[in-house]
This record gives sequence, structure tokens and C-alpha cells, in this order.
Amino acid sequence: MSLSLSAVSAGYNRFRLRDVSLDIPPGSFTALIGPNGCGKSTLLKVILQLLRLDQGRITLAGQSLAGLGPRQLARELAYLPQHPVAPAGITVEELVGYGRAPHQNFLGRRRSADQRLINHALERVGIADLRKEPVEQLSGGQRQRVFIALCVAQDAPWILLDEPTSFLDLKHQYETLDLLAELNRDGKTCVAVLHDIGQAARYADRLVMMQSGQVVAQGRPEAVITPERLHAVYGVDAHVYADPVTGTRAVSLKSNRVDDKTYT
Amino acid sequence: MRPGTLIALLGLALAATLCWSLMVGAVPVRIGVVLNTLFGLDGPRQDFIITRSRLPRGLLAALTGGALALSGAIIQTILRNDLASPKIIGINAGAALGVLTASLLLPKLSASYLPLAAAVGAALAAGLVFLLFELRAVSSARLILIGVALGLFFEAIVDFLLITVPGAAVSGPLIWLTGSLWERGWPELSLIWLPLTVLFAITGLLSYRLDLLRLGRAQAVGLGVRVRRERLVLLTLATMLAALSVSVVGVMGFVGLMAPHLARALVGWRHRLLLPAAGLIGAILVTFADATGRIIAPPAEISAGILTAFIGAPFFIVILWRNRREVQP
Repeated sequence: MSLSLSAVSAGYNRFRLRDVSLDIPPGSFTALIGPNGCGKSTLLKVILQLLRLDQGRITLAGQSLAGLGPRQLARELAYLPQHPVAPAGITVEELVGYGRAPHQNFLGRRRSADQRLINHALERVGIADLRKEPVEQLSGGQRQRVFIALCVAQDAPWILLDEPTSFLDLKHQYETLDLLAELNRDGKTCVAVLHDIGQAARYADRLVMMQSGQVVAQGRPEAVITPERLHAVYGVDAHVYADPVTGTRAVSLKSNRVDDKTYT
Repeated sequence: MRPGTLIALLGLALAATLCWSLMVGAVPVRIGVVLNTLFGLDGPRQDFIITRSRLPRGLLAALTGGALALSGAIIQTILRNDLASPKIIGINAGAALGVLTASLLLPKLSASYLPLAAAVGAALAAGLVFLLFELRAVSSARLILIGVALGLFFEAIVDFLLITVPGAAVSGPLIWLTGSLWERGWPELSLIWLPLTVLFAITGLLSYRLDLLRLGRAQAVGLGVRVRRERLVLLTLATMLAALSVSVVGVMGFVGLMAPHLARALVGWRHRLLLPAAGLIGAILVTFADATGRIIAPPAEISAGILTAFIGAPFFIVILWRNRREVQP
């Protein structure tokens, strides 16, 4: 049931994915990390067929994605874009309701099962009491929950998220990640583009590190995050240590200016 | 007020406006006489004025106004830009150029072919803008700039022709360019009512698709929408709606921009409600403008295109001012 990319090349002129091969097992929480412009978002877009594949092959459970129609693909993979749009005046419940689109007919006729799944999504994500609120009046963190609820209502086993935490403050970043971890425990496979390496190591059980459109490492966080790799990929000198709270990998940058003697 | 009620009220308002448009003009007709004539009742009737002249004209105004409004609503949704309208995708300028070119190159051409020339010009211009849009994935803001530039280019050619060509050859097209229902009647109505009705029905069926496209390309693709294909279908639909209207009543630019905004302020953005509301508002606007144009300085007429802007613009500005949320991207 895993999602596999083999020898994938694709992308815009500047940000190209080159010969990317990678395997994401079902049930995992995978974080895509790497410096800006390394191709993390492009990778998600290629999987979702927002970008055309130039070479290579993407399969889900052994079946080529190219053979699936867009609706069928949307029943397998839910997607949270980097800058999701909420039209002015739309309420939480209306927006979440569009998650049922791949299961509805062309005219969008709603059945009782659809309403049940919408209610479930609202409750699962903890926004049931906001259902009549206009989305634009919510805080950034709440809005992100609404879009995640849309993905839950989509009822796809996979959720792909493009920088779900990037524009949130610290508290909402962790709330969003906690929510994703819960969904992951419910059985959803999560693939998220994340910027913070410490957060990625803490929440994801698998990391995929990318640089210049290529995958440089994939596997367990402990194996992927090493000082050597951080130097090679991000161009930084960093300490890697076990976070005193979680025991997961944490990163601290060395600097020339401050007293770094404690760690030399 | 519930959106359904609002739409029903708009329907009543359209009926009232149509009725009023039958009463007014160079020869005023009382409401009783209008009703007698329409429903074949006993009593005094005015068959010639009502049935031959004002009724087809009123219906034509309502149909074309509705079509322009729907076209604008579709284009604003697809491009996700509140500045978009049929004018932006080059329909007006293309139609104008089509008419002018036809009447200059083929001076013997019967006036009944002008609509065809307009439709061809409009479709060509819109096609050109879409082609640029699809060839390279430009942003909607840039597409609108391209449309504006193309429109100005066409307008420059039109102005050039109007200045350099002797007057008589272009006086007919000139009236037409201001968007007028003068001397339009059953022949034009019989030509466009069926295609427009079919297009209205198709547009209505696509309400949910428009909702999904309004969420943006990335989200729509993620929800299983074939964005490119559906966008192409809808933009073709919008072009046909606008070109058909322009071909009969001439250039009436403002309705397509304004009606969807007014509708959105009333019933929100969901297209199942927005489309009927926008269509009705467009129909009311043009019918009202046409009737008003007949009574300001009879027997002279002021073009409906001029009056839609004259009446609509202040109203439009007030709505946008009070509803600031809607104009933000």
C-alpha cells in the first residue's frame, strides 16, 4: 500500500526534481525537509498531478497514479495547499463540506453519508462549535484546522500537507502538529512539508531530506539528522542532540559571535 | 432575509421593471392597457406599441442583461479576481472591432450581419486572451493586465478608424458601440432566446463546479477537479454568453462587472444562489436603463449602455464601500 516514486523528474524550469526515488509506507508520518527551493512542495505537487511528470513513475499500492482519474486520486490523497483560499463569507461547515466533492456527483448532490462525515470531521478536528462561523473571521490556527477538517471529510487514507505550520505562531504550530499526530494514530498516513527540523524529528517517524531537487537522505530521524548532513545540505554548523523533553533529535546552530564554548 | 426569499424578490422586481418598461416611452401607456394587451383582456389595448415594439425590446434587454451578468460572474470566479468582467477578456473591444471592420470592408453588407461580425470579433479576442492564459500559467492579475492591454490596443484601432474614415460609413456602428436596444425587436429576440436559454441552463448546472474552482487551482485539483478542462468549458460559456448579448445590443460593459458584485453582497458567493441573483440583477439593470433612456428626452433615446453605467456606477460604489470585505483579494 505504500506510495513510491521511482526515478521521477519533473518541475518548473528553475526548481526541478531530478531522479527522485522514494518510498513512503502507509501509516507513517513523513516529513519532507530541506532548504528553501529544494523541491519539497514541488514533490507534493507532482504526486498530486498539479505538475506534469516528465520522467519516472509514481505508484500507490503498486498501481500507477497516472492511471487513476483525478476524482479517484482525490479519494486516496487529500491535499492541504500552502496557501489555501477561503472565499469571502464562506462558513466553516460549507468549506469543510467541499471535502466531499470527490465522492459526490458532478452537481454536488449531498447524501446523508456525506453530512455524517462532515460532522465527524468537524468534531475530530475540534471545531464543531465553529461550524456556522465565517472562515475569514477565525484566527490563523483555527483556519488551518478548518482546512485540515476539509481533508478529514475527504475521507482519504493519505493526507499531504504543504507547510501546514509555516504561518502560525508557536502555540498553533504545535497544536496543528499534535492534531496531525492524532490523525496519524487514527490511521491516516501523513506527509507534510515542514521547515523546523526539531519539529519534524519530534512528530514524524520518517524524514525525507532534500537538496536541489534531489533526495539526499530518507529514514528515521536519528539516521537522517546528522551534523555532517546539516552542513552539506543547509550549509550550517550545528550541534545535534537529544531534546531534553522529548528525547528526539534537536538542532542548535553554532555561531561565531556568541559564546559557544559550552558545546565545543 | 433568507437567500431564497431574496431571489424570489429579485424575480418580482424584474417582472415589475418589465411591466414598467412597457408603460413608458414616447407614448405613455397606462398599466391597465398594458395588462389588457398582454393577456388579451377586454378593454382598450395598444397592440402596436406594446406587442410590436416594447415587449420584444424589454425581453431582449432582460435576456442580454442576464447573460452579461452570468458571463461576468463566471469570469470573476474562474480568474478569482473581482476586477474581471467580459470586458477584461476582450469581448467588448473585439466585438467593436469586428463590427467596424465588417462595415468598412463590406459597406454593402446588410445591417443584420453586424451581430455576426460582433460575435466573431468577440470570440477571437477572448480566444486570444485565453490562449495566452493557457500557453503559460500566468497569474490571473497578469491575465487581466493582458486583457486590458489587448482591449486598449483594439480600442485604439477602433478610434483610428473612426477618425480617418469618412463619417457616413461608421455612423451606424457608432450607435451600436454605445450599447443600445434602439429598433431591436422580435427578429433579434427570435435569434438569441433559444441559445441564451440553453446557455443559462448549462451555467446553472455548473454551479457546483464554479464553487470548487473558486477554492483555487491547488485545492480544486486536490478535490479531484479537472481544472484546465472545466475552466476552458466555463470560459467558453462566458464568452458565448457575452458575445451573443453584444452581438444584439452592442457594447454594454458595466453590467458584467457590477451585477455579480451586487449579487454577492446580497446572497453570498455560492453559485447556486449567486448565479440566479446575478442574472436577475443584470436583467433588471438593463431593462430599467433601456426604459429610462426612452423617457428622459423623447422622442430621442439615450443608449442603455450609457445609462447602466450612469445609474449603476454610484450604486456600485456605495455597495463596495459598505462591503469592503468583498473587494479584498
